[in-house]
Amino acid sequence: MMVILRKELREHWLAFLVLTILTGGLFLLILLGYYTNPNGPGVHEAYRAYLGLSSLVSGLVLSHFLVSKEYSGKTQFFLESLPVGRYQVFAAKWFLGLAVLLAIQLGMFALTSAIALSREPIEMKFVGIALARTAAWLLFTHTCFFAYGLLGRYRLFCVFVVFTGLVAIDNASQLRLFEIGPFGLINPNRFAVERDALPLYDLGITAFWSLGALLISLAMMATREGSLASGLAVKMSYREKVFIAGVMVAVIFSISVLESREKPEPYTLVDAMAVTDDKVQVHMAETGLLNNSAPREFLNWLHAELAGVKDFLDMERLPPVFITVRRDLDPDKYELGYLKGKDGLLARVHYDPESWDREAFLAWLLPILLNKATYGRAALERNHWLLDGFAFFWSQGREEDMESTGPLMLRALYGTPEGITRTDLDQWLRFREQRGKSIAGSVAWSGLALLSRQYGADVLQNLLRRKLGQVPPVDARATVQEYRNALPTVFQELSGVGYDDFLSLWDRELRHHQRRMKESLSALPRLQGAVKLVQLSRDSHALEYKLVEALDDDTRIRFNHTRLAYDSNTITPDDVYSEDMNAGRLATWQRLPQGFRRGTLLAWSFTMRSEILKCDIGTGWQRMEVR
Amino acid sequence: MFLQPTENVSPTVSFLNPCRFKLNSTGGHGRTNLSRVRYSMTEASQKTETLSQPPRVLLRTRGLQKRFGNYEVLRGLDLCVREGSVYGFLGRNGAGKTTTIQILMGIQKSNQGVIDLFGRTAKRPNIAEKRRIGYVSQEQHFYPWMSCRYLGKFVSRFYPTWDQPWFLRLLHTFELPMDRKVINLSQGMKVKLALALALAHRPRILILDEPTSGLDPAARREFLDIVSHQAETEGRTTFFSSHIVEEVARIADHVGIIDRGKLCFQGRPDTLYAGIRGYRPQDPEVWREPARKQALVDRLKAQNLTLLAEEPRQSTLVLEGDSEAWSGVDSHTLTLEDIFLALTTKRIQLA
Repeated sequence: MMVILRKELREHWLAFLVLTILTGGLFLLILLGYYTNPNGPGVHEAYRAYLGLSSLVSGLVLSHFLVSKEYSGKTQFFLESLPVGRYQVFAAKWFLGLAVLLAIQLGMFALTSAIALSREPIEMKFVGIALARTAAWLLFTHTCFFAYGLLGRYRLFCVFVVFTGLVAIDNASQLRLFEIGPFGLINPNRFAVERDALPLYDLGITAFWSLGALLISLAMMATREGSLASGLAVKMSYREKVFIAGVMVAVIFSISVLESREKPEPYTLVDAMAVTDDKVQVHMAETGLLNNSAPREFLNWLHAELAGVKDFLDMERLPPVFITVRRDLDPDKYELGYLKGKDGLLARVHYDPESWDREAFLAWLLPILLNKATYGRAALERNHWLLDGFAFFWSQGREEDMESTGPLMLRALYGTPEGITRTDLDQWLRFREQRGKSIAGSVAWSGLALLSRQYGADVLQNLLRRKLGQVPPVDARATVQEYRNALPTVFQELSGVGYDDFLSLWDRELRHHQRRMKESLSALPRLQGAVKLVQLSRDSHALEYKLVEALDDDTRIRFNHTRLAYDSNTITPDDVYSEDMNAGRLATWQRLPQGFRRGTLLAWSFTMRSEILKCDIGTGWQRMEVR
Repeated sequence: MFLQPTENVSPTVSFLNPCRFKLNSTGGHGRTNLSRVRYSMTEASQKTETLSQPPRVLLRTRGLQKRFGNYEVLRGLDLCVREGSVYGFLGRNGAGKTTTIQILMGIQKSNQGVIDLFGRTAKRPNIAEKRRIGYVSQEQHFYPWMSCRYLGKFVSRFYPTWDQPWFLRLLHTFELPMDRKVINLSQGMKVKLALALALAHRPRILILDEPTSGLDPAARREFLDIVSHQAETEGRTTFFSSHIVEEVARIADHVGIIDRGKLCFQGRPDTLYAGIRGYRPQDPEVWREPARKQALVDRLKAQNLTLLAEEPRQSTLVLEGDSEAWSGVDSHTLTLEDIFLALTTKRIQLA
């Protein structure tokens, strides 16, 4: 066995070295991200992200060099002709692969834990649990990839089948395959969070699967007749390649086509008022009002507006809109319902004819509706400012332009104290999160208004039709179409001006108007807040918050906070909690009643209502980890 | 001297294996079908061997069968290789030679049958037995990154009897550059390297699987000379497969002919030459009139001569019969190639 080990080391030392350098480089990059984001997740979370990716890469590389290469090069026949048992060869390769994998990954783990112990309040017990998770995951990936290597020419196909099968089972059942067992061990919501108990259940399942993969490897290795694996290692014939590629493409295509062709049934609201034609439908459930004339009028107006949008964007139809009334919602808050397998869009609103702001509702509804109609293409981040801008343009700003002093223009100027840049547009979701939807939408509106004034309403309309109104095919062609119709390309094509040139012009205009309206803008407050963690117990912290700069005592301020999932950076509006109080109280530290466990990811912001801007303004969302 | 373990097995059980019926056979008189005639030939051969106290059997297979799905590659193969012999294992492409050798080396597994190797009966050789075998495969699949010297060092770890100075001498004799990597060796060099590796641990038996396929004529002759020289000087038992009749005729003192997974002859070449001969009919009309040919065949059959094949271009019938059957028949000796073709190509079935 030692002879084989020495041979493998001498043969593959360069591959092992390159693998170590590559994974080490990846680890350093992730570590860099950790150091440059002091409010981000802890270093063990960074390690988890690294582990998930690098263990897959390492498994593939090791299985190729230790297993597949031996079969594809037919050197296995030479080995088998020597007086050495197959099991000895197998054991040498298996243990060497595991040793290399463990040496690389556990080295990084040791470094991670050393950093964590010096910078974060963690205990050795947590390190031990994380180590058990890591080691078990590595054992699992190693055994799986070893079996994968023995599958020879069918290995990619088998992985495709297994992965597709797992996803299908996960979707069709309640098994939650990707949250338990081996995948549960490196689950982002658990790896760096569970600090007290060993995940014995997941470790057991992982051991079971690892044993299964090992037995499969042994069976394939032990099958003689030139071994099953060697038979499989023979390169695929052209016919076989075409067949298997055809099967894979057909499966993917069939799934996507079946999904897209599956016409969802229309959603039905019982006893609802409706204004419909075959292109646009709006329904409103029973409002509880004695007189339905106001809701009816609202529905007629909404139908007319949506029909106008459809014609303006040259769309064939819009998804039906269903509105239900929820008295417990704030009047200016709208909730999106989930219609599983049904056609349409369900909005929950607090409808009161007296205070109902239909333009604001339309501004909220339009981006969602267009996004749904275009299968998510309209909301791609680089196009998203057009979508937000159009919502405000259509609902409130068709008559205004940048020369106006109305709230839209004021908001746009308030949201761009340092002008507008290409980065702001390319990373629009981040920009919007920091400014708030109304401010960001108004900034986008200002761009559309400038575009209309400078190059003509036709150019604006055609641009919006191309980017928001075209319904793409529901398959890979959509990506190609998007690539060929990138916003800068379409912009240049329609206006004859470069996208960046337009952005410079837009930036200059905003700065010019900021000077023009300097006094109005300086009267608007800019919130600055701070938070701190107060330790309550070994693992529990309280969160305290306050305003950095004083405001009028009576000004109502909201402190918003939400927990973030480990695998998602998105702030979900429905999960946001707010503490509403006078600014006077916020001159001193205020404490949230609930405690937060160590490792919890949080996001927070301060907001207030600006009567001048007629929208919320705030600090923008900040993220942090409870340590 | 060693005794064969199956000395007293009745010849009716396994008529093709000379090791099994060496003393109690009767000569096969009166048998007319092909297999019986061949049985008598091997039997006769065995008689000769027995009288001179034949060496012990090093390698024997019994009822070896191998199937790939529905395709039967080996159909009850009974080989017998004696110590010190050079055994040429002859067969057409796809006859089952490589499969047999891979089973002997434990690379493949037989579906049925056993191997007797160095006196032990098993399904496959164990590690200790493999250490006593030198093996050269049909294609050389060495690690391309290893040099000749390093490859020897690597292989030497598996053989306690490895003789490093001799290995280096073999490399020198074969004119193999020691530090050249395998990837840079020609096909002929690779085969010679394989032979050096196979010989360096001084094996009891050398098994060569079509080692000369892919070699040019000069390299092939050089290789055969080396093998032949080794067999002569070292007295090493050699079992080699080939589909090239000429090289078997050149160096083998025993021949086994396999056809579609079954042996159709096993014994000394001179026995083969004596048993299968050519006959040129005097009457040229035989080749034009089937009735005359049939009459001739019937007449020969009455003399215990069986028609194996006909060669109209050479105006020759290939006939099979024991030595007594040839008396009075004006026959001529055939080449091994003619005999091989007669045995392994499509048979003529005449009543």
